[in-house]
Amino acid sequence: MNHLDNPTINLYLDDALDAVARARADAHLAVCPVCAGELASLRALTTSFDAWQTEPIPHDLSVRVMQRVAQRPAPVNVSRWGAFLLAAQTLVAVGLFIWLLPILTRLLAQLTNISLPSVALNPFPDVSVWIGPLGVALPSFDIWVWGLVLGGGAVVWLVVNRLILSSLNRPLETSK
Amino acid sequence: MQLFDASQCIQGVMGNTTSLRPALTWTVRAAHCAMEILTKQTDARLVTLTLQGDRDAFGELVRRHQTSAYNVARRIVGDPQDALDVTQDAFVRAYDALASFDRRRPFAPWLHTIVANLALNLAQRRRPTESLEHDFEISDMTTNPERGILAAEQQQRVRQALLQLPPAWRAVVELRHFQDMSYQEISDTLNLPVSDVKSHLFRARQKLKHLFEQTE
Repeated sequence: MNHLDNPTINLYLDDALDAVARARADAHLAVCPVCAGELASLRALTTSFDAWQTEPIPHDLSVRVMQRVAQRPAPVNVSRWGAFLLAAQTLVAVGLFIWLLPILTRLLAQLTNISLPSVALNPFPDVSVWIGPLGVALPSFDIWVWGLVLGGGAVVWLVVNRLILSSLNRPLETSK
Repeated sequence: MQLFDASQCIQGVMGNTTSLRPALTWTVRAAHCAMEILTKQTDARLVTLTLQGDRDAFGELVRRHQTSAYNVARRIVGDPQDALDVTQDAFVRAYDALASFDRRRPFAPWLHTIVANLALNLAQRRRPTESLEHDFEISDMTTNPERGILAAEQQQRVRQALLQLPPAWRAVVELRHFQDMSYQEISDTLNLPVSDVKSHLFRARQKLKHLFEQTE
């Protein structure tokens, strides 16, 4: 008779065999006192772990932990939705930066009467071509319009940020 | 809800106050009531409160779970002082990583995985014999001394045997038998392949069986 090997007996003990292997092991254990004995001794071993009772903690750690925690930044709860919003906002910011940089440098050159090198006036030629007519039309606005646009944009930006941050720590359904 | 509880609690204790320093008494009682309210919150709620900036809520989580976390560390590192250090570090790590904790799941297993990892790292840095030199407290000797002695002997035997295992095997035994984790969960926790988890566990059981047979 072929006995069950050690891994099989352990997997049986942990209820980790598939249905077919378990049925085969059951059939073998029913007729083999050696393997049944081995399984029983493993069961007794795992039961003996119960003898290790929970020990009381020698002293309360909460004060020490709280002292250490007080020196650390508060954890920020970035939910999946919040992470998506932050990523989208970052992408928009980078896009705006690329789009506005040539326009702003051109305006700056006009205002300060400094002749900037061509690379500073058009650092992203491919993007400028892509945005085409709008990129050409916008520099015709005067500085007040630009101030209004950028100031308004900044306010919207701050409001959106505040909304994102308040959504990050929203409570979930509580369960112990 | 929480504010309502607090005002009710404070009103209740203020009714009995006859102190000459009502402001101080009120402050102390209010703090006491706030603590009492925290103790009634679920773990998930305490995590939410911590993430909203209430550090006292995290203090309550520490008080609530420090004994179980300490016992996880104790079973892996052996030495009580090391276990205390590991437990403390684990709570600080847990605080830092609190945002990643899924509040729909129970808090204790998540904390225990952090403890187990830190304890394993420490145990692997220590010499294997160091952890065997510590005496363990004998519990429950007052109610039935004879039974208490037998239980303590059995406990001592199990501890001595477990602490003779290599740290990685001990950590796997801890997670499988004391934390009731599956092979896959242990694999994820300790960052080991499932085949290694099985191998460690099966060999640990074999060695423990051998050690128990020797001491019988």
